[in-house]
Amino acid sequence: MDNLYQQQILDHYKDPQNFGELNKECRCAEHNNPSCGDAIEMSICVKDEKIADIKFKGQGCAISMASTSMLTEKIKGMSVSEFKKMDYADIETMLGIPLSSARKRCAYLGFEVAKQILADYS
Amino acid sequence: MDIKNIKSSFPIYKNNPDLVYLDSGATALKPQVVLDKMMEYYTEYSANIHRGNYGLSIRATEEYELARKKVADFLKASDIREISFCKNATEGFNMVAGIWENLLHEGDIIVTTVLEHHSNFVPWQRLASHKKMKFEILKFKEDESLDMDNVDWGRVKILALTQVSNVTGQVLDVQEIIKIAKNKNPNLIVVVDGCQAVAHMMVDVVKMDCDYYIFSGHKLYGPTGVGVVWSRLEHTMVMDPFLVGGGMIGKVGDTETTWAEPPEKYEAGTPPIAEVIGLGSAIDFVSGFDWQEVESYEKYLMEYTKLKLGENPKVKVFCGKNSRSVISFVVEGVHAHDVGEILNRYGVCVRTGHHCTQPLHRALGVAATTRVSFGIYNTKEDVDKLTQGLLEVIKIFNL
Repeated sequence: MDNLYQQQILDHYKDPQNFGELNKECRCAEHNNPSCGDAIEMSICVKDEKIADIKFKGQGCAISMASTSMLTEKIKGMSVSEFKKMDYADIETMLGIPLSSARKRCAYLGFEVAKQILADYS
Repeated sequence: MDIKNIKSSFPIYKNNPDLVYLDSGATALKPQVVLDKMMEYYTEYSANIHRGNYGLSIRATEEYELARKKVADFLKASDIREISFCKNATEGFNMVAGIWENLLHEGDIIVTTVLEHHSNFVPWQRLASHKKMKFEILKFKEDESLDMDNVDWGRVKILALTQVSNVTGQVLDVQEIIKIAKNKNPNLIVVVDGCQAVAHMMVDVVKMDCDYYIFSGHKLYGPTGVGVVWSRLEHTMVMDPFLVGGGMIGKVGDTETTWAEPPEKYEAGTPPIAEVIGLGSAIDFVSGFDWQEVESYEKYLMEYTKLKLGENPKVKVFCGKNSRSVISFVVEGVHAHDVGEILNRYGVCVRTGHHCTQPLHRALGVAATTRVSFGIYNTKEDVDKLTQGLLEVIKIFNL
């Protein structure tokens, strides 16, 4: 089995979860990696201080897409306060693959967008 | 061409025997002679130039000016005052844009092409925005010729174009394009990006009839940190400098200052001395090659690459008909970043992304591509390794 392109990563890349048209009633944000062309847009709705609805769309490498897909699965239903305790190490743990410094930006992309959307929530 | 001998001239191959370097478009590898020449400056005569009256400084000045002469001869320029050194081509384009700013007016037009690297696109876009000028981006016809119709050439002040595309490798007939443009408007200024050309073909700026020719030394097997701006003498004699300060002045009064003559006028501060001298050595190295041999070898390598890439139905290629040093591609269903990651496992170095050409990638309809670009040291075996890596990409992603 490939160290980086493990089945879980490839599965999420080929069939990303919570992928599709954004929910326009939710707060949206987007981020991209200008050096490589990864671009992610995301929408998140918060209800009763929990992440009630989350959707993303975009294009990118297997790591950025899989990471964002896995992240949306992980945080859907999570309280905003619990999300705010997350950091980059949690993303790396979630992925469970060795990441070079060049690929960390890909892995963190979806997380950056989610952080931006939820920044205003206390 | 004695490729085996050529590879042994580049010490990086001794340190990385499995290296398959296919990214010379980003930066070329450096021959030992260039490194030795720079070390010689630093160990034997590392004084500043144009300043000292002592032996070391005189020698440094002579070597620096000798490198300038080598660049002039390399470009077939008729006067060494036309060669000035900067940090890199990007700085060169910004310098020319800065120098011309005061002579441009609202309603004038700046024209560039969709193939351009950001360095020969963004400075002009910004200049056009500042001066409320029109900024036009020319596209190419089916036959790959530049579409020069539908432009009000009478109002064009600047035409900025690349000689060779850093993505598709397309070689533009710059001489012909300039002839057409200057027939329509003899007063327009043409700025040519030679970055991807200088290591692959003979350049004659006089025959080309351009006004500025700009390239980065590190793409010509020279060191990073040096760029060349060739400017037609009629411009260098009258145009204002860009950066001002030390070294480029005549008389500094309390309220005003006069400028030195070109080329010093355009070289403020201590220049990249070792790098310029290293570039001179790189030109000596390249001058040892027969351009016709280089051309025919590159054509052979390119044909082989196109053949091998074409074997894969999942691979879509972006390449001009006359390309010989650069070719880009996408693998259907796999992002370029992942292609590059897997190729790296085979020691294959390629560039992935948009290669500083976002407008071009939008026009091509792709977010990112993988780019292969050749240097004088590349071989058929390098291309075979690339092919092997691509098979692994297909296997991992189960295409």
